[in-house]
Amino acid sequence: MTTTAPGRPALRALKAPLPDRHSPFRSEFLRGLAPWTGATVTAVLLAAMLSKSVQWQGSWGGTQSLLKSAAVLLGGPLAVAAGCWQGGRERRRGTVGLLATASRGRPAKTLVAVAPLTAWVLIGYLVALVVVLAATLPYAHRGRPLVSYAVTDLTFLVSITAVGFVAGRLVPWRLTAPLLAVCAYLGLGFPAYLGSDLRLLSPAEQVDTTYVPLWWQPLVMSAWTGGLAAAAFLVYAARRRAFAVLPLAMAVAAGTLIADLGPGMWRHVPTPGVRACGSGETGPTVCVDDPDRELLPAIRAALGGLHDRLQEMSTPPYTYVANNAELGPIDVRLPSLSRGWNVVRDEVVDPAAFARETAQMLPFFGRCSTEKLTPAEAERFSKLQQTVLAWLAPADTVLPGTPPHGSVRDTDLRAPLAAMAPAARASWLDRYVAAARSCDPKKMPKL
Amino acid sequence: MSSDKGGGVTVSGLTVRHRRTLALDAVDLDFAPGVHGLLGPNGAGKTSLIRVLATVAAPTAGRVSLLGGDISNHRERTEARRRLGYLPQEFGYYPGFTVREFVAYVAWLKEMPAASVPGAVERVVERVGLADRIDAKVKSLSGGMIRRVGIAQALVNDPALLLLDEPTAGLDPEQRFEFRALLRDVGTASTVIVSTHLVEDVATACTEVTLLDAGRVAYRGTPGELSALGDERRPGQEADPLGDNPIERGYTTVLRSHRQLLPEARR
Repeated sequence: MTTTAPGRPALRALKAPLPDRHSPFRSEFLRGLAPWTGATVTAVLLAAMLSKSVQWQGSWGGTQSLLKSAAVLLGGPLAVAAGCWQGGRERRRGTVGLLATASRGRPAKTLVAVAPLTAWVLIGYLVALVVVLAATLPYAHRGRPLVSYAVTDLTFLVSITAVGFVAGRLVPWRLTAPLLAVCAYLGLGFPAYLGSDLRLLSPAEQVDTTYVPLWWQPLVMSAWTGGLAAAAFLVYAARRRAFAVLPLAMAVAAGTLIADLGPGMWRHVPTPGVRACGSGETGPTVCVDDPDRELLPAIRAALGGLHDRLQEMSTPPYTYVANNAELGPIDVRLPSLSRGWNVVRDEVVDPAAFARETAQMLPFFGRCSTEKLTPAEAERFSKLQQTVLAWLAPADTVLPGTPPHGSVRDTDLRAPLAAMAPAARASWLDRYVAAARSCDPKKMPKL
Repeated sequence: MSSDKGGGVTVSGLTVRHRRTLALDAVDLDFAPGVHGLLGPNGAGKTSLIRVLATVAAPTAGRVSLLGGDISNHRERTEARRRLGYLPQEFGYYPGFTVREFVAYVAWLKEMPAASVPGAVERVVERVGLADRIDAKVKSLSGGMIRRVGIAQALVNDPALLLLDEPTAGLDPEQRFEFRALLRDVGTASTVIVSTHLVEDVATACTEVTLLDAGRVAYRGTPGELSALGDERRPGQEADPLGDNPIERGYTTVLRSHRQLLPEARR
């Protein structure tokens, strides 16, 4: 009997025997194409995600959705090409004869050659997944990452690697791998242009990020992609090729179900009814959906100037409300908070434009139909509205209008109001609001 | 060396055709344990015969029995494959693997028991003189060393039937000398069939020689008997046009007489 010396677990782990250096799986895992493929998958996915980080870094759905697109449209062609190259290795290396004289069965030989490569593709994907989820974590406050996305992506990558491997074994042409990658890219991307639910047969396709897959959706999708790959694998590797009928039947059934149910395999996630409001002695009162509460300081800061200018007038202190909440008499709807567009990493991308868009929602703008006005009155109405908007929420933009030059700068528009004394300006603005509410052009103050 | 591993090779009516070319023409042969040299000019059918015996290529016609099993039967063919070693003429390898990994990979392909693989790999690598390079990548080795890796992988399962196609190509004289000794050692218990162009390999290492020409057996006998056919140098000639040594002259003599008889035989 031997006894184990006591010691710290870490030290004992260091002294543990190395994995068997004679295992064929280990050799295939460590040598040749496989590790490089894993590293390339990670690099390609992260490069693609990095280039669009503003779009996804703030939403679990957006992150996983974009990673899925990248995994299928970029990782897929890469995996199929790597599989194909690995499949053609015996021809390139001249080991076909050596393998043909081996007693080990073809399924085992095939598995040992393709499984390590597949494992590296999966590792490459998982590393990219962990990195992007970690990057999203500080900014995503709604929902959670879904395992179902990862399951369908992983099954797809395994499947397409195996299909590429079989193609590489069967087609003795060096250009098969790059050609297969191009075909995969086109074949997986093309369904996006289909109007019917058949587009959902492509693993790259998905529904809106406000929908989440039902629990069995990844199983059906995995049966579709995995079934096709398993059929291809068995046709090549199995002694009894008839066995390939089973996974093929499974894939056909799953494909039929996907085409038939379409978006029915996803469910809408309703916006939670709970609101979070931010207010203070200074600055506006802003209410958003509770998961967006982290945005309150940024929104209140963006609307600070608008709030201060409105306070010069005798309008009520408005409350700015986000999204689909019902509006009260003194509520003003905020622009849609769209992460990746006007909100990135819990910050408002363009505070001035956000304030301008909010100002346009003030209740005294856009109430009058220009059809009841003469062209001259309508033009005057429009010009005064632009002037007031430029004063309330200056955005330093160039607006169309005012011939002969064809455009007018925001700063020029607000100049007359800026030149007035505060009391006169407040009086003028109150008269403007009263006229705008009554839609009476005769009451419009002169400027 | 271990005792006789039993079984040999019996070939009857073996015909191999590559498209329109007849590589082997109804050949009947048998090989008992020992070292057998396969000689013959290019295109004689040596590689075709080795490939059929290695179960890499299927015969067009005829019956092949390896180590007591009929290779047309899947189970018996698999059993024979476990017990044979094969070095192809163009030896392919995975350049990123180490010597240890590559030889172990072949051991796995031969379905050797996992527990016996590490020891077998180290023994066979030492046997071919590569013990100090066992953990070097194959791509870092010289051509002669890579050839020795090929010999090691063919020997790793201690085969009862060893098939070597041009094994000494790329070996330097010292390595060839050592290799012949290795062949003699293996041949004491196993059936070794060596296809070669080098008659000195046959003269020094083989117990029996088979000369193929145009897909047929031109001669069978011992290397000594083949040498005897060319032993008598014609008087007054400094250099004999049939060859520099007896076995070369015997080889040429046999080939020429076979070529004279061949048209009659085919008629």
